[in-house]
Amino acid sequence: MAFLDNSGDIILDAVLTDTGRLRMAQGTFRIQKFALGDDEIDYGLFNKSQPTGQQDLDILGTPILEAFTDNASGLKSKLLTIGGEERLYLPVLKLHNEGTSQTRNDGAYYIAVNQQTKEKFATDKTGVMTYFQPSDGADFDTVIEVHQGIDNAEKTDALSADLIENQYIVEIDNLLGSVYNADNAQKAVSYIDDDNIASYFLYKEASSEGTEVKTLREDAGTIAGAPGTKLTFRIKPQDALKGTSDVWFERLGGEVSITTDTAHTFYYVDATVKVMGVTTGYRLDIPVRFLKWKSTP
Amino acid sequence: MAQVYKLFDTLKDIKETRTLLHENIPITGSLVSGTYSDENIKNFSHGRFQSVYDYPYLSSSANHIFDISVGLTSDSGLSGSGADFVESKEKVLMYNQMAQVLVGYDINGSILQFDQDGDLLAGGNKLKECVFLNFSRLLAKDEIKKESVNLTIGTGSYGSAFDGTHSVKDLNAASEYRVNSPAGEYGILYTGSVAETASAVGLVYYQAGVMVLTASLFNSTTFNATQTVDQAFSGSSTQDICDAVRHRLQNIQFNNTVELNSRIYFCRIEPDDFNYSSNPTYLSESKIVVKDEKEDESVSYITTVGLYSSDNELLAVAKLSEPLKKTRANSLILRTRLDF
Repeated sequence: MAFLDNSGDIILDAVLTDTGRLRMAQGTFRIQKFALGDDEIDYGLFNKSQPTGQQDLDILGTPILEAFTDNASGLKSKLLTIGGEERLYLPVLKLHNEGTSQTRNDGAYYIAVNQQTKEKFATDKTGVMTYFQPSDGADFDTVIEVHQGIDNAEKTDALSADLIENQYIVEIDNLLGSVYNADNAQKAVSYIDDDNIASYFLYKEASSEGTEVKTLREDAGTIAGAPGTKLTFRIKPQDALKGTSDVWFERLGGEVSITTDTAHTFYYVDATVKVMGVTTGYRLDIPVRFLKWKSTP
Repeated sequence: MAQVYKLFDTLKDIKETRTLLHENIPITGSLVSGTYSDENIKNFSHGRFQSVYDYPYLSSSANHIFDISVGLTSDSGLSGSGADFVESKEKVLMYNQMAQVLVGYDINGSILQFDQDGDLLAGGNKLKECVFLNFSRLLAKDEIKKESVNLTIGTGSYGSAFDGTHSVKDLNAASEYRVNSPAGEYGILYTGSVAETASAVGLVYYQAGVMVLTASLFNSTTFNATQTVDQAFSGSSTQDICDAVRHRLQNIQFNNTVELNSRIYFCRIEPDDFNYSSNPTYLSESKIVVKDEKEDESVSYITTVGLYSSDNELLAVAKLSEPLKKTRANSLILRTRLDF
């Protein structure tokens, strides 16, 4: 991906994404709204100690890459419109890395794709999710919990209503896994794009507390300041990974040795679960590792 | 409510335009005959036409640029049967094929012949012995631009073909062209500088990208190494005639046309729009890094415009060549054009 020529007038380099071309072929290409992004910008280059007019010279000199045609990576960090008075603090998404939502030591969640793999983690269940339902006698209670709020102790007064995330989009490679709630009920896929990335639209239901999105308690611990909401869900492996074939592990991943009760060799595929707040556009990438037991030396 | 998307006003913000783009296409004679020692000339076992490439055609870099073929009417004095008539049937078939596509049929369903001045109903002179130049879509694109055709044909002896030349142009075609062809609009090719019937030597079909030249244009006592043009058209193969025609093509030039249909999206950004960012570097402990105080001006930098469907799927993306500063003190209109 080359850089754009920035020696003359400002130009716009526009392309259809792969999804755009797909929709063109399907006859459903209809653009109805726009968003703005700043993916290349490092706001850390903004030098407040400089005189006005020189604070952002490094930012304004940032070279810009050509447009990506991949719809998943074409525009990641979006600009926000927030009405009303000026803001100094904005809410973020943070992984609640404690208790039943604690990750493994390497910072990822493990997903055991079959019974044999699950058994290898019987004595070391932290950060491990399995494909079993509770009725199968599974006692792996790991969930992914994302907290939203202002992560600054200086800002503890209530988060304004227009910044509270009541809706989230969770994206995962549909070949590998699907999204369940904490009660092991499978969530409906909202959309699967041309790259087989499944999007799940999870939202807070006003009448129920049993949904995936709930109001975050102030003492939850992850968010230092004003709390917003919390999102809870599980990832379960797709059938393609559960079977006897190891083809997807060999093609997309490799082998790794993990010590639980003893050292075991597993096949693995690493993936990322992306969580995005619909209101603020803030994103959080969560690493997950799909594991299939291969051998115990 | 914080927002990351802004809806287009479909009446005000989305406009459609049509633009005609023209490219100049110069084809020099040395490319057609000489530069690549004819390795860019492809002959076929059927012998009905010859293809010209811009590079030796066995290379994957080669582009097909045009075909040459030859046609005779069945009532031409140069067609017939017997040993003196070589590939006569094939030449008649080629003429009829081109004529039925480019000229069409009369009320009885008979194939019409190419007419010197395009007046099919009045009769007049017919082009009975023709050379066809069929340009590939790569060159002609949507159509050849009217009044842009300029051919230079060598009329000298075979050994010194360019000692004399004809300049062949579609004079006045921008305002005088014909529309009675089933293949779209066509103009008349003239030698000299005056558009008069006496100097009409062929036809150019603009949308079809085909030029039809009368054989008499090449009239020379030595059309090829040993024959006059009449002898060659009756007694030589299509391939040999095409070789001789290429030998006499000094220059082919025209402008092509591309119809560019565009949809322009006016992304209107008001002073209060898009002044904050979800960029991970924008916040440090949830505090906006470009501000010290709450009252400081919010600032963001635009590098990307995403165009979305109603279900938030990114359908098109546009990148600015440099970051654009956005504060409450400015409003912007980003004009994003998609071409189809």
